[in-house]
Amino acid sequence: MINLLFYLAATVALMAAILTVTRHNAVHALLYLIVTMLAISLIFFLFGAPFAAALQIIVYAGAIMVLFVFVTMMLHQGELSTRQEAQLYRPSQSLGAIVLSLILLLEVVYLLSVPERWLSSQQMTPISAKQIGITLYSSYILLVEIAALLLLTALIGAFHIARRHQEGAS
Amino acid sequence: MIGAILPWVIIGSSALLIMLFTAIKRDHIYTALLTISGLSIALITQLINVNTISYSNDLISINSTTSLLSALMILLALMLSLQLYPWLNKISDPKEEYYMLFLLACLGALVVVVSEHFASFFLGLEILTLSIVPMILYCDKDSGALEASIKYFVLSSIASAFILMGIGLIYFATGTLIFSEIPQQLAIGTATASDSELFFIVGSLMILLGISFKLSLAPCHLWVADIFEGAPLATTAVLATLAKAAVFTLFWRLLMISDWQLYPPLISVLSFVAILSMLAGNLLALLQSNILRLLAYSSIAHFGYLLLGPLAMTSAVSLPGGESLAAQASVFYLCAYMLTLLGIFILLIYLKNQHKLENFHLDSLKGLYWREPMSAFVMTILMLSLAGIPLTIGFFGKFYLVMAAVNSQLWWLLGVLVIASIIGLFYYLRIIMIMLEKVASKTDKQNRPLQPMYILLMSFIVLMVVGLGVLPNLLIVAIEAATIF
Repeated sequence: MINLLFYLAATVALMAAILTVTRHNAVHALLYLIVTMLAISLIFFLFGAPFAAALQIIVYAGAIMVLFVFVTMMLHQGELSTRQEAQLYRPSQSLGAIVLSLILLLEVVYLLSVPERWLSSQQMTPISAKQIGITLYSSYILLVEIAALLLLTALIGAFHIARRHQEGAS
Repeated sequence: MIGAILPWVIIGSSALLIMLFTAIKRDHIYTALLTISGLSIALITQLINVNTISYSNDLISINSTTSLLSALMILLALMLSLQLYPWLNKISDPKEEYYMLFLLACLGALVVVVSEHFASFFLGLEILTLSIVPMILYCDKDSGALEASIKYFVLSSIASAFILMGIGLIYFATGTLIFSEIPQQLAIGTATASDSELFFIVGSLMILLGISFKLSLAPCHLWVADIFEGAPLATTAVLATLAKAAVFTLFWRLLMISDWQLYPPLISVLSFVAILSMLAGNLLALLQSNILRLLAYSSIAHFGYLLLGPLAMTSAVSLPGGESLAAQASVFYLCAYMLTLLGIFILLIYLKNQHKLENFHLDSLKGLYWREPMSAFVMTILMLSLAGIPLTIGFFGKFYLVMAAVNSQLWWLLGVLVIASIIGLFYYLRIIMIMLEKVASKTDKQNRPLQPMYILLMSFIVLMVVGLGVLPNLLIVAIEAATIF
């Protein structure tokens, strides 16, 4: 059963990814990208990694994607683009994304409603957030620090490039 | 552990200190001094570490080889950082960020060199890439740097994606991300399921693809000339020396540790890449009229030569002792090439700063002998070293590499190496000829005194290049003591 659910979620992820790449409008593409993220998160969930699944939703679908959508929408300004957007943001445009996420929702509802033993013959041990934390801050502590420096590098770089841009504009 | 990674701590904390100072007050000279002193202290601690400390866990392995190569990287960074101040002093943008990015790039290179785990390798590689992108775009307002940085950013993201996919496939085949555990896991895996070997090969090929982008090896070399041309010279130097040396070291260790020689398809693909790089690099450089593009193509060829080292190590028919000989040859060649190339970049930065070069067209080097005798002399020595003429370090690097290849009976590759070197000789000598040409009108330029720092750096590089070319034993002994494979 869990195999079937996995294949369903994987198909949704693939379809949404293909739709992301082929959209002409950036906002439509992002909508499908969010669906891809949600499907991947469901896959993590099926593999017994609820923490990774939650992070996937919070970090990717939640923060980064919403930021993305806002930035893309703010780039469109003025009378002409407003009229164009009135055409673009019809509810019918989001139909594909809604259908795909409905499939994911049904899967989640199914997973929550049926008893656990129906799903899998072998016992699966989910990885808890506590285990992840202990592993990260014991044997992988060096990686956490390197990742911190990586973020710092990206921050300094983005800061410099963005400021240069601002000075050029003014 | 803290002793083993002390150089990292020093470099990382100098970057952080610069950031804190910059937040309070911007001061260019203090920032430069802090960078230089941080790198010097890191170099000293690293040199002390070389033969005394060895440390390894699942993530990193610090042994005498990786310590020696880390020391080489810090030395390169230190030499380059001495030339940053005069260049950055002339630009109008804020300067302090460049030092932070420079130090962080150096740290990323050090992480890549010692990594023993795919996660630390990937994180180090990303630090390197993400710090180089803003460094490419640092000061130039023209579209050349913008084009170069976007090209580099997009292409290196694709390369990183390939590497990640390869890592994923290898993890799928073996269930481990630690390099040294791959062979034994694979041996168990092949006993139970026959396709884990296939997944390993496909994954390794994807990693090879990503790495050959980072090293600009032949099929993935299209970006390199544009970026060498568009980026500021100091950034190009970081990209051409630090970044490539780090990735090459990692690749070489990955190949050794995870036993690529057991898989003939991987070795034949690698040989093909080596042959293609040697020929394509030299042929493309042949008629270049821009010195930076020429250097870019010649670096493709040099990394093609360098691939002979790992190939000699993995050769099935090598004579006894061939493996360690090939390892020493690779390290020696890497040291020789990096020192020579960095020398050329330092020279170009200096000439550009002093307005002795209008652009990087070969014509602007015309008559350099009569305008700027010392720089032209140093340039000649460095070019001869790149070409591999005796009495320079480049000759011994190539000699050593050929010896290793003969030992492992790589006749085809050896033939291509000889042909490619002969082609290469043409354009290195052409630069020397152009510098010798006499130009009547430009001799009346006023002769400004040379900077003492520049004289010091140049004499150090010439001393290394010629000194180690005459007495290569000094370096060979150090490498023999340090190289363990």
